[in-house]
Amino acid sequence: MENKKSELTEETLGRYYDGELDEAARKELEARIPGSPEARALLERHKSISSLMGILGESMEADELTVRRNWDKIALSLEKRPGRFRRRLTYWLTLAAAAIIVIFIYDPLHRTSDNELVIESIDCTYASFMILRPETQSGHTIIWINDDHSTAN
Amino acid sequence: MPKPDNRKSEDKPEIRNKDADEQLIIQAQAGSQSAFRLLYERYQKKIRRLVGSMFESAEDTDDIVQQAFIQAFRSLDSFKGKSSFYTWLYRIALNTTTDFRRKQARRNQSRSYKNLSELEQKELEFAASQEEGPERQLYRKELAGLMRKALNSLSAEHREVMVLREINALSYSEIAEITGVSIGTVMSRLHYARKKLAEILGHWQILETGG
Repeated sequence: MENKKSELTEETLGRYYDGELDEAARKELEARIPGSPEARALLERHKSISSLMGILGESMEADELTVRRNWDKIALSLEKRPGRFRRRLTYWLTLAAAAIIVIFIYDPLHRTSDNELVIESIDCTYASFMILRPETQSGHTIIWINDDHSTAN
Repeated sequence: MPKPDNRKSEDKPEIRNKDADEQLIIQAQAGSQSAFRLLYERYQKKIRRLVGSMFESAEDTDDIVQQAFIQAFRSLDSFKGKSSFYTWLYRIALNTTTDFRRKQARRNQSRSYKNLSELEQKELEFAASQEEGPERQLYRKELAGLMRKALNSLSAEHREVMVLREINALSYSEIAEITGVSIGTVMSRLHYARKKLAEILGHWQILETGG
């Protein structure tokens, strides 16, 4: 069949069958197919295979219950990681916010005299903080953060 | 005179749903599970067809469908909208399927179509003889099983293009995008896959191969 006419190759017929030819090429091919028993046979064979593939496709339809059950498993799996990640993120962000509040708001209100050592202790939901003043010789304020909530109190 | 199978275009509502997809994807990227659930409901059937055509076990199929959607949700941030969502999703499903098959191949040795047992051949003949009778369901089930076997006799590359074209009704360019090859390669693979399938099905006397 191949090379009988330049356009009537198996490849072109395959493209025709799959609807991948442009309008002009399709029309031209359609005019030639009736005169080629080989082309007709090939297209019939493609059609039979499509029909069998269709049967295979239909056999895989899932019922409502399976669709729902699959989603439940997907949802369960999705909740595991991002959920834990979100909780951890919330925890650390709260901790950071609390530390900033301690440093920038409490500090100006609690100036101490040079020889005085002040120990401040703050407890919140997620952690407890302890601040020692005045600054060390290297110019640092010492802050202890205990993030173990169960032992914070 | 046979004509191209135009019914396949009806099977592509996702093209019309592209805008709706985008909204859902944005919401899902922001972490909305309910938006992702809608995407799942929209595409699970097609992904199941893609995966299920390659696996006999419904359990395996369900596992892979689940894994593919989980993977898709976790990779949503990497979806930039350069391709359509469904081609992106198909690609994930194909990769998941390939991984699963690779693991499965290590466990079991897949059977070749040449090893179709005598019993199976008899079952097929029986089923074929009942085409119009009350055993039609059984007949179709048998045919589906044999088609799956025939498909599994092809190489992964040929099987994929065949399923994407014939079951998922995708165009050459969409298949090329999903499989990462040129349109010419898609055409060539489809041509070979059909030829090989016709040979196998002819050998099983399901299909006439003359002409």
